[in-house]
Amino acid sequence: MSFSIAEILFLSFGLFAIGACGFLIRKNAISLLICIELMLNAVNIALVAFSRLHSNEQGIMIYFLVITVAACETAVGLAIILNLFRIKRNIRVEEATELRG
Amino acid sequence: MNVAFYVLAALLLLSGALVAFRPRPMECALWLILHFFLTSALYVLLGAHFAAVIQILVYAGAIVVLFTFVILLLNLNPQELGGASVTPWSSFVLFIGSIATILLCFHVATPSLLKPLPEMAPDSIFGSVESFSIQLLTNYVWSFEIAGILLLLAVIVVGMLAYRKGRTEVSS
Repeated sequence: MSFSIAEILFLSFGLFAIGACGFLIRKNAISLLICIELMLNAVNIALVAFSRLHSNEQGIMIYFLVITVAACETAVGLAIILNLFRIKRNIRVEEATELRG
Repeated sequence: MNVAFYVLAALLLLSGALVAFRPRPMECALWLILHFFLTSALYVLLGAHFAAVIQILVYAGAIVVLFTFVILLLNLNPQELGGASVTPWSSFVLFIGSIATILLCFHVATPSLLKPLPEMAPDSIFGSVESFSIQLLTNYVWSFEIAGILLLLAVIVVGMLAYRKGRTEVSS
């Protein structure tokens, strides 16, 4: 291996930054969920890289848990989006303001 | 090995940017498939073979299919989608650039992060199904159970959200 952990961490950071930018500038709720997946995936890359660095399986275990949480979050989020569409007839997030305090 | 990593990193960043910034959600979901396959290739390069397999199975196989089904089900027109917001780009670029600078300083100040990754021993079982399942069923058995309960809860909650009895539609 001739690449270092720092390069993988920068890749992971870049992907997380792209996901965060997308999350902040997108308007429709499905794209927001997709950007959350992008950010979780960036974190997973860092976890697996650290697992490889120390040659133990702990990072991969946490990666497994993150995948589980991501799957749950996607399922629940898409169900909420379907309900939002049923009520509002669109999925623009700035129009879903009923819960604003 | 080195060239493969840099090519993969460039493609990952490119496909990530396409996922985040393409206007239509369907395009985003399809680029997301490419992104997850490239991530899987990166895991193979790192030696975590089982992680690569579950990346493709769970992410590209299940989560993206869920996204695609919902996008097709809603069948939105561009007016219902809304465009990009008017938030200024320069503040994001400044914010992310400053975090990147801080991280770069940390990396340069920590020499152990800059060493090449150690070679694996030829008889190492890192990343195989064997070592994964040994860990999963011994040290991490409780987190495994909690993951199962979490999935069950997600199923129940999605059922509750999808079930509506006699509720009238409120269209604005």
